[in-house]
Amino acid sequence: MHGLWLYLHFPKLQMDTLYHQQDLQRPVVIVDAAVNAVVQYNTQAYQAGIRKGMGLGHASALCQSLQVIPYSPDITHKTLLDVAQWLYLVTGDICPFQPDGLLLRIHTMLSLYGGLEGYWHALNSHLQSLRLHYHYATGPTPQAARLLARYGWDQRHQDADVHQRALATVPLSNTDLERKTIHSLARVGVKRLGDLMALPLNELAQRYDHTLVTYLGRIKGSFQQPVSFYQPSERFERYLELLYDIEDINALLVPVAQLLGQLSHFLKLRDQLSEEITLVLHHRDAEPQTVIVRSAVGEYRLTAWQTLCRLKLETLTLEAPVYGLTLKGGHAYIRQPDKQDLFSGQQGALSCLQLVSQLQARLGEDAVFQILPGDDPRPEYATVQHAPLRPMQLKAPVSDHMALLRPSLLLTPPKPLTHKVTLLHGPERIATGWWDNQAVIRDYFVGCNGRGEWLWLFRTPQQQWFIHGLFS
Amino acid sequence: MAVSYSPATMVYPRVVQLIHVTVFFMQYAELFCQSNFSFLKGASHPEELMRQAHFLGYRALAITDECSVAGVVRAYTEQRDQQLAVQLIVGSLLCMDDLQCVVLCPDRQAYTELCRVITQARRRADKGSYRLDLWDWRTLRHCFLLWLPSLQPERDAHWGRWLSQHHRQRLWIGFTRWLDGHDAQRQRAVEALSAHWDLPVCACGGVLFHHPERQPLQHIMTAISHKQPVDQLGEALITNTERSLRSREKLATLFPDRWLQASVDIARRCQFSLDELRYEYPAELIPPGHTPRSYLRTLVEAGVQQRFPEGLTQNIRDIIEKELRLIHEQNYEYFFLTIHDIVQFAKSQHILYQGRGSAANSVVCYCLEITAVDPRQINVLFERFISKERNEPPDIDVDFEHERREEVIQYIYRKYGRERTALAATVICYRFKSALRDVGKALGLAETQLDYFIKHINRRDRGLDWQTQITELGLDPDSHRGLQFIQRVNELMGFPRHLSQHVGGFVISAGPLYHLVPVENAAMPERTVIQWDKDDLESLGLLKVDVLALGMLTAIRKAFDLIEQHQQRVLQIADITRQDDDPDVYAMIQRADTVGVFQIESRAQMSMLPRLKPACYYDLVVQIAIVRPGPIQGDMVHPYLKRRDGLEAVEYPSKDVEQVLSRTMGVPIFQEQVIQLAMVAAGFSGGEADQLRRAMASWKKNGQLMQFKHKLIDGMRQRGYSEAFAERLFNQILGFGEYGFPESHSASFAVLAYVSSWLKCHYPVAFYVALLNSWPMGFYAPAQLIQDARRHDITVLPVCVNQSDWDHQWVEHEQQQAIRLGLRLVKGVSESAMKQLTVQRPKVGFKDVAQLQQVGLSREQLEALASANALHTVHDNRYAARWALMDTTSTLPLFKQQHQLFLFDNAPEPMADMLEDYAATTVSLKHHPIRLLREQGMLPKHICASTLHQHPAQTVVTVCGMVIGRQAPGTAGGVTFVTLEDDTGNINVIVWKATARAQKQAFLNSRLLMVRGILERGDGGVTHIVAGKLERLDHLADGLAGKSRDFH
Repeated sequence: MHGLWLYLHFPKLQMDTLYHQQDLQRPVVIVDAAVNAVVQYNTQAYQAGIRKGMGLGHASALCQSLQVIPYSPDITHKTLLDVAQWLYLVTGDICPFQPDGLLLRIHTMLSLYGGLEGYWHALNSHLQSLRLHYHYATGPTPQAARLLARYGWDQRHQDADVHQRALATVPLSNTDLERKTIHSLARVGVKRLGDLMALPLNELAQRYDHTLVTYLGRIKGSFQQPVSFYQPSERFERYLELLYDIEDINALLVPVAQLLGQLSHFLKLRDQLSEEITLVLHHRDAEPQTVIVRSAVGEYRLTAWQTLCRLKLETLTLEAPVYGLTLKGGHAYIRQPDKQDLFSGQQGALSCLQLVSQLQARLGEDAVFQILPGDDPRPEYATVQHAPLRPMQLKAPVSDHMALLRPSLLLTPPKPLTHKVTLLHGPERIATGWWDNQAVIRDYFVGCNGRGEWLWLFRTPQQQWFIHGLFS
Repeated sequence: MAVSYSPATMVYPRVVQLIHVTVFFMQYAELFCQSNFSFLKGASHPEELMRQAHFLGYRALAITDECSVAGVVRAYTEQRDQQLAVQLIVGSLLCMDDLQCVVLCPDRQAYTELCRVITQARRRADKGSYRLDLWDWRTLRHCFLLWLPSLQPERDAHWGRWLSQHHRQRLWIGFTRWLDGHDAQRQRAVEALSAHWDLPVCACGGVLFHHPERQPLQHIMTAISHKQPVDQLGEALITNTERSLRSREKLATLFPDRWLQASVDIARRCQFSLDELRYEYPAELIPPGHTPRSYLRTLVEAGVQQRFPEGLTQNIRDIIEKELRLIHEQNYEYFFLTIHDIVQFAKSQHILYQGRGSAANSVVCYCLEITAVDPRQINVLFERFISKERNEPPDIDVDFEHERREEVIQYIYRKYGRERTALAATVICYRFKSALRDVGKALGLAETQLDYFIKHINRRDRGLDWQTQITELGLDPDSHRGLQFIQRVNELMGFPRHLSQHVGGFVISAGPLYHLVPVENAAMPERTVIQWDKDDLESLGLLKVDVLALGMLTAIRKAFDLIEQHQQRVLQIADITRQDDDPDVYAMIQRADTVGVFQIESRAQMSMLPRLKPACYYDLVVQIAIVRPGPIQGDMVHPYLKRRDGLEAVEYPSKDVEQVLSRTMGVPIFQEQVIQLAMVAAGFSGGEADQLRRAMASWKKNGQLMQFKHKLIDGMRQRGYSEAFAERLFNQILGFGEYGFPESHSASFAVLAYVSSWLKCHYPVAFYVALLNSWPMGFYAPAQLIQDARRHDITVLPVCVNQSDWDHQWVEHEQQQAIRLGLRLVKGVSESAMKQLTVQRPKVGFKDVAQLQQVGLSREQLEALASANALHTVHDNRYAARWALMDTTSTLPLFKQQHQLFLFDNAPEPMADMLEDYAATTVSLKHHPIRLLREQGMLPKHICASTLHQHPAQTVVTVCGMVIGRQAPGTAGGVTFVTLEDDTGNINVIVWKATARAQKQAFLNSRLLMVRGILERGDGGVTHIVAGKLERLDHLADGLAGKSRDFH
C-alpha cells in the first residue's frame, strides 16, 4: 500500500485551552490524580525542572509556587474534536486518536493542493490560528506517522527510506508497546525500533505475543491499521440572513417561524425530539444576543416551539436591530411514544410539564421552582428550592414519632414578640451552623397568645424573644 | 439565708472553696459519657472530661465508650495524678439493634464480666467492630444497666419485659435531655415504661464532649465517619451543644431532683477502681517445691557459676544481693522468670537475643543470661537498676534475630495459650497530615488542594509554624472557612483513630486475659490485642514483655556460624565482651571505618567517630547516645567534646549534680541523668520524676512538659542553683523531648556495636557475608556493603549458576578468603526456585543452557539469571543467553543455531554491561559508572575519593559520583548530607539549604552528580565538601537504575 499519512500530536491540549483564558506567568502543571503524575506543564514549569511523569510531591518540591490543575479527559476529548471539526474545512479524512492525536489520510488530498508542500502550507496555516502546541510527522502507515509525530520528528516527506531511517532511531520507550515488553526487550539489548525491526518476525513471534508482531506489522505496513474517520456531528444549525434589519420583536416571529419549520422538519425526518433550542440574534453594531428556549418535555412540533418562542421573545428587549438569525438545535433524541392514556389522571389541555415549560418561558428559568424539605436544622435553611418536576433523591422519610414540631408558616425575618404569650412546649435548642458563618443559638418554644394563635417562638442568648412562625 | 451543705461537700472538703457557689444545687454523677476512644464520635480526651467533671463539681464520671474500655486508664491516671475530687466509674455503652444500655461496673466481678462480654463481642467481628448476642446480655450478672429506650413502643415493651426479667435490681431507665425537640416525648415514654415495669429512672447526659466549644469538632468527626462534607450532613449532625458536660445549676432546671439523686446513688454503689487490678503471673514457671523468690535465687546462683567461673568479687556479690532484695520488695520475680523462660527457649533454639532496658542491665539479668553486658566491663558506676523511689516499672526489652522472632512468639502462644496472652495495643492517633486531610475533606476542600498543602508544608521548619505556611500557600486565614480549618486541625491532632498492635509487647497472665482487660482482633490474622497501650499498662503497674526483632542479631549469629564452620572457633557475644577492650577494634572505629557496624554506621555517627575517638566500651555507650536528635538539639555535643579534649573546665554546681553528671563530663546525655537531676537538684519526688519521664516521651504530642517548667526552675533556685543553670537544664530537657535516649538501652546497643566491630575487624569476610545474608536490615544496601568489602581488599566473586548458593558464601579463592555472591542478589528470582537449582546442580556444574533448562525453572527465573550474567560460565553473552531462554516454542537445545543473529555477535558494550549489572543485581563488580565515563573522557576534570585527603582544606575541588544517600536530619537546620560513590570510595558532601533550593533540579533528580565546592577538614580529619555548584550527569549513563536511599 502506497499511502501517505500525517499525524498531529497535541501534547498539551488542556494546557493550551487554559492559555487562552488567562495569561499564565506562573508555573502550571496538569496532574492526573489517578496515576499521580504530571501529564502536561507550561514553559515556566519546564524551566523549574518539571518533567512529564513526575509525581506531584516531586514536582512541588522542585517548585514552590506551582499551580496544580487536575487533568480532565473531558476537556481534552472535546478540544480534540473541535480541532478535528476545524481541520475538516481543509482536509477530508481525519481520524481522532484519543486523547491527543489526529491522523490525517493525505495522499488523497495532495493533488487538490498541488503536492505535499502546498497541502502542508494550507493545513499548517489553518492550524496556526488555534494556537496549540503540536508535533507532526508524515509516514507511510498510520502507525509510522503516529510514532514519529509522538517522537517529535516534525518533518514531512514522501520518501519511504527517509521514514525508515527516522523510525530506526526511535527508542522503544517512545512506542505504544507495553511497558513490560519494552523492559524485556531492553534486557536483551534491544532499545531502539531499528534493533527491533532487524529481528526476524518469526524469532519475535516465538518469544512475544501477537501484539508485538501486529504492532510492528502496522508500522511496516504489512498489517492494516483499522481507521475510522471523523464525521461532523448531525446537529441542526441554520443561519438565516434577514432581508432588512428588524427592530420589532413581533416582526421577528415570522422569520423565526421559518427556521422553526426547518427544525421541525429536521427532527421529524429523524423522528427526534429536542428539549432545548438556541436562537442567536445577530445585531448590526453590537454583540449577538443569545436566547435559549427550553421545553420541559421533548418536542418537535412547529406549533409547540412557536408558542414557547413567542412567550420567550415577548419578555425580551432588543439591544439593537437584528440582521440575521441562527437557530441551533440542542440535544435531540429519538421520540418515544406518548404514554398519555385515559387513566393517567391528567386534567385540562396542558400537562404539568407543558405548564412548567410555559411558565418558565414567560417568567424566566430560575423563577419557577419547587419547594422541598431539606435537612438543615436551622429553620431558615430547612427548605430547599429545587428545579421543578425533576425527580430528586428524597431521604428516607422521618418516622412520625421522631418528626419535630414545625409550623407551616415561617416569618422572614422573625418578628419581635411584643405581647404576652403562654408557653406550652419547649425548649428545643438549636445551636449549630458554625461552618458557613450563619451560626444560630436559639431556644424554640410553642406558645399561645390572647387571640388564640399558636406561635413558634424563640429566645436568643440575650433573652430577646421573637415570633418565627405560625401554626395553622 | 442559711447555707445548707450537702453531704458531698463533706466527702470532698478540698473542693469546697471552688464550688461553694454551686453547693445549693443537687449532686450529680454523669453515668453516660463517651470519650474520643469511641472513635469519630466522642470529641474530648478522657483527661479533659475528668478535669471538666471535677471543675463542675460532679460526684462521679463514668467513661462509657462504645464496647470499649480503651479510654478509662487515661481518665484514671488523670484523676490520680491531678488528685481530682471526682470518682471515676468504669463502664461501656453496648448496642445491639434496638437495645442500648450503658453498662457500669460496681465491683471487680462486674468488671471481669464486662471485659469478657466486650472481648466476645469484639472477637466475633472484624477488627474495629463488634457484635453482641443475647447470650452476652444474659451473662451480665453483676453489672448495672442503664437502659436507653428506643422510643419504638413495641420494641421497648419487648426489651422492658426481657430486661426486668433478667436484670431487675440492677436496672435503671436512663433519661436524657438534649433539648432537641424530643425531650417531652422521651419523658412521656420513660415515665410510662417506669410505671409499667416498675423501674427507677436515672438522669444521664449522653455526653460526647467536655465543653460546648467542641461541637464543631464533633460535627467534623461525624462528617469523617459519613465520608461527606459537614454542610451536606443535615440531620446526621447533632443540632446543639447539649451533649457536653453541663453545669449542675442547669441540670437542676432540666431534671427532677429524684432522678438526679438516682445518679448519685448509683455512683455511690460503684466501688470498683482500676487500682484493684493486679497482675497474676502464670504459675507454671515455678517448679514444685519452690517459691518465686527461691527459684529466682537458684537460677541466679547457677548463672553466677557459669558467668563468673573464677568466682565473684565482693563488690559484685553485694550488687547481686541488693538487686535480689529490690526484686523481692517490688514483687517482680515473675517478671524476671518469664523473661528468663523466653530467652532460655531462644537459647535452646540457637536464636540470638539481647536484653536491654533499665532492669536488663542488672547483674541478675547478666546471670540469667538475659544480657551480655559484663558488669566488670563497665567500670564507671552508674544507676544500673530499677530505682525504687523513682517508681518506674522494670523495663526489659529483648531483641531477637529478626528472621526468627516469629518462632519466639509462637513459643509464647504455645506455652501460655491464646487466652492468656495478647499483644499490647498501640493507639494510632491523628497526626498533622491525617488531621489536615480529614478536616479538609469534611469542610469540603478539594483533595488536590489538600495534597498540595500537605506536600508543601514543611513540619520540620521550626521558624515557621504550619498555620503560617498554609497561609503562604493560599489559604486565607481570616476567612471563616480558613479559620475553622486551622482550629479544627489543631483540635483533631492527637485524637485516637484506632487501635493497632504494639511491635512486640506481650501481656501474659495467670488466668484468661479477658478477666483483666478486653481483647480484640488485630489486623494480622491470629493475633489479638488488648484494649490498652503501654502507657496504660504502666499506669496500672501491669507488666509487659517486649519481644522485638533486630536484624543485627541475625547477622551476628550468621557470622558466628560461619566462623565456626570455617575456623572451628565457637563464639558467643559474651565471649567477645568478656575480653579486654581490643585496641585494633577501637582503632578501626576511630577511623570511622564502620560501614555495616551496628548503630555507629550512619553519616552522622561516622562523622563524629574521629572526633569522639571511642577507646573503651563506655565511650561507645556515650557515642551511641550522643549522636541523637536529643543531645544535638539540646546543644550537648560540643560542650562534651570540648571538655573531653580538656579545652573547657568541668565544673559542677554541687556535689549532688557531680554525682549524676561526672561520668559524662558534666553534660547530661542520657535520659536517666535528666530524671535524676530533676530529683536531686529540683527536689522532684519519685512519682513526679516518673511523670516527667512520661511527659518527655510524649511532649511533642501534647505539650505537657511545659507544666513542669516552673516546678523545675523554682525547685532548683530554692536549692541554690542559678537561674541560668536551671533554664539551661530545662532547655536541654525540651531538646531531649521524645528523642532522649536512655543509658540502659545505649549500654546494650554498645555491646552489639562492639561485637559487630570486632567481627568486622577480625573476621571481615564472615562479617560481610553475614550482613548480606541478613538483608534487609541496617543502613546500607547490599551494593554499598559489597563496595565496602572490596575497598577492604576482599575479593568478591560474581553470581554464578555453577558456584553460587542462594546465600552469599565465604569461599577460598586463589588461597585467599573471598566472598562468592549468592543468587539472592539477583532481582526477580525466588528462594525456592534457586534452592531447586542448587539441589539439582551436577557436581561439575551445568555444561550448557539446555542442561540448565532441564531443572524445570520458570522462564522468568532463568531470564533473570541470564541478565545477571550468572550464566557466564556456560554462555559468554548475557543478551544472547537471555534471548535464547525466551523462546517459548522449543525447549530443545537450540543454542547452536542462535549465533546467526548479528545482534548478538558482540558482547554488550561496557556501558550497557554495567547498566545490566545494576539492573539485575544493583551492583557491578567489573565496572563503575564513574570509571567508565572517565575512561571515555566524558567527565570534567575531577578528584577521586581516594586522593581527596591529599588536597588541602579550604580549596575548591570538583568531584563526581553516584548518589548513594541523601539524608536530611531534622536536627541539621536544613542541611542535607549527600553521599557520593566513585570507583575509589565514598565522598561526603554537605548541601546547605540555600544551595539545594537554588539548584533543586540537580539536587533532587540526580543519580550521577558532579559537585564543585570547598573541601573542609574538621576535627579528627573528617573530610567533606561543602557544595557550591551541583550538576546532574544522569544523561551520560541513561537508564542507570542504582537508586539512592533518600531520607527526608
